[in-house]
Amino acid sequence: MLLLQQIINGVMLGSSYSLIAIGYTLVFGVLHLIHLAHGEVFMVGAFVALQVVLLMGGGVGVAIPAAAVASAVLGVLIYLAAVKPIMARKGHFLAPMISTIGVGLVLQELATRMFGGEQVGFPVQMESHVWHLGGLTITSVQVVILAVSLGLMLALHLFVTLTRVGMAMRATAESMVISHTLGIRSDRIIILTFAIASALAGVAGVLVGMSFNSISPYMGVDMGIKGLAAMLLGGLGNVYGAMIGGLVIGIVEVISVGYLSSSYRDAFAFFVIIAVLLFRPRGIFGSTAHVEG
Amino acid sequence: MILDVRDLRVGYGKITAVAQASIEVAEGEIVSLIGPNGAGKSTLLKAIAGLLPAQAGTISFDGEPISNRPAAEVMRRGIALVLEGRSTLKHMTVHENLVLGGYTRTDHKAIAADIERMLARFPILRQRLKQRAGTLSGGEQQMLVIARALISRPRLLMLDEPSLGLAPLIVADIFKIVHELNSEEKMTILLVEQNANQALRLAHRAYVIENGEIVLQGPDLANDARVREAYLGI
Repeated sequence: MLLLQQIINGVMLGSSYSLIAIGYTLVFGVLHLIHLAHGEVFMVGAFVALQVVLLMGGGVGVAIPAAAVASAVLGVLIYLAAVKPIMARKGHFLAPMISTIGVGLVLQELATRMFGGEQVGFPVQMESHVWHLGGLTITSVQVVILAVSLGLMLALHLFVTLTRVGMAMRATAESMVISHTLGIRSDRIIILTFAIASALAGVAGVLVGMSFNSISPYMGVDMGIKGLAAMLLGGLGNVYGAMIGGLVIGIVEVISVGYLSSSYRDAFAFFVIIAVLLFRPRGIFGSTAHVEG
Repeated sequence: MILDVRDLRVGYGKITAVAQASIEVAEGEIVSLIGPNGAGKSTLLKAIAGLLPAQAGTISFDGEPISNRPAAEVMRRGIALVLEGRSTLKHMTVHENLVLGGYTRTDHKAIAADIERMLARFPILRQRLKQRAGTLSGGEQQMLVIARALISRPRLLMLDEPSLGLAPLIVADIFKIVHELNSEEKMTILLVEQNANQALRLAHRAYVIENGEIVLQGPDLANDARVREAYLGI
């Protein structure tokens, strides 16, 4: 029972990692860029949600859309201001990534200036129910987190498989040249990709804020690294890999806290990632086909 | 002339791949472009399609200048390019590839009807509909990319080495399809080929390109002494 409880808790935690990892993987898919300000987009989503809820009141139903919209706008602005112009100059392939590191630092500093460097509470009003099923304990916050993250993943899956724009997004990720010959305007698809990736991160910001009851301007660093690791674990550029990768890291983390010690939670999670990557260097769902752009 | 290319120069960095090339294609024609490996055939097609920048010269389609327009915009004007080497979207299913062929169209019913027509024309694709395109054989993938290009209802179809790397029987199939498209559906086609024999037999007119320059042109190059010696091995 203890193990099952921990797996449930791990899935809750991991589903937020998955949302962040999906964002990394979507952006990597279309641009072959590791977007290192993505963790800060997540953090800004959480802070915007907090401010909106403090100003206007309302619960999760207000916080989540606010975070999604704010993060989507921020993500698109980051692309237009800090990624696209640098890619257009065709300099070193690492230059756009370095640029996103800079953006991340700026966002951290701005958030610290505006909200202080301390952790702040995250009072998203929600009636808290606790259910006891046998020996298992499930809270209403956990149910919301799981429903929102799994719902968004399902929505994304339907979008990329059933709609023409979603297919165009996958086509752009597979080959920009072929996409152009099909009349797909990749510049618009890239902007849409940043918007979707960033909105998911913003929602994850609210979910993480709810589950830990606090947020800070530096929360994006840790979560960013976990999301990046989840993407690598699942396989670069693979959306389903990112989903699974996030869940695996969440479960491993919670189990290591339960059976080892809470001070090793991150170390153990990364130990597992390194072990998996030694056996499957391209990640769980990684394929060799994705190397060429 | 539906396509009019004048004095086109295209290069990669400091290397000039196409120099002062002029070609014309009239509505309803098959025009072949032949020449040795590296002569600039593919480069010329890519420049027309907007995938490579034109450094000098003009390209007009239907009387409108299209040089150095983004490739997606050129395509939307009615030029479909089938890239060389099985340019399917390999991670996507056969059906998804066909659907994306109609990406620029909004008449959803007519697109579905066109997909159905393509499946009737290439029955093997119907059997493979849910498979990833990357799992198809080379010939099947080539049929898929031609079908995908046709679903966009182009006014000019450009084919880059459609026979490359295919077995002789499949090559014959592909050329038969090209011939039928033109004779039955009046499709205007610009064909780049190394298989000079077939390409000349199929075409109404042809150009020979060597070292980035058009060196010969005409309706009856198959009987030209230089072409016979250099390209047909007769």
